[in-house]
Amino acid sequence: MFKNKRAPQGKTLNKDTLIEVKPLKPWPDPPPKKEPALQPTQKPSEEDSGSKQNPKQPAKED
Amino acid sequence: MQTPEAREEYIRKAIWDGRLGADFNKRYWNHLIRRYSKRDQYTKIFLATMSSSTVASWGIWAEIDLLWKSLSAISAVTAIALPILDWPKTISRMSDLAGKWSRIEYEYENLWLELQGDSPINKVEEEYKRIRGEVAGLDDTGLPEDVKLNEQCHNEVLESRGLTS
Repeated sequence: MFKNKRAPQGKTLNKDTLIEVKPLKPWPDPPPKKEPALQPTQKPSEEDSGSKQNPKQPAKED
Repeated sequence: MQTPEAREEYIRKAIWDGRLGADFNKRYWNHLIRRYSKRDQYTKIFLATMSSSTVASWGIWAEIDLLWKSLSAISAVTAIALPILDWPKTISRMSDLAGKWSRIEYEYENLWLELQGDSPINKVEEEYKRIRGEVAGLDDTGLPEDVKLNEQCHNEVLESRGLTS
């Protein structure tokens, strides 16, 4: 069933031969390459982070 | 002289095509396995039915004698041809191919992920050449060319990956 009379010399369809079927239509182009990720921004200082962690902290009452 | 960017783009396209091609081949052989398995199964059921004395004794055959004779003739030819066709062997060979293509698809998927990451292009290229070396690339498999199945598998690959326009 798998004997190939037109196979190139030296290539026989034995059990180890991997047969590739070519699609009749071409594949679409790959998606555009992703740009490298931006460098992480500078870590905020403790004062800044502290103020950002509790943005809604109520003002002290007198 | 090819620029490094052009070379990378070439490798990228080759891996992309290889990835889709491996998926396509896996599906193609799996479809053929199902087709040949059904043929084998139905033929064996037909032969078993025709050789059954119970079926032969049905009174209906006396009324349609010509049909019984025709079916008997077909059955005899099929019984001779079946060992020559050796579908179980063909199915086994195709199962082996489907399994190998499944593994190659997995390897291409990994390679594509590496390419999307920070792996050096030389390393990716070496790996691509290794995978490509496993493929014989014979166009004529000895099996009848199935244009419809070829198109169906092509569409399945595109649909499964959301590449239909």
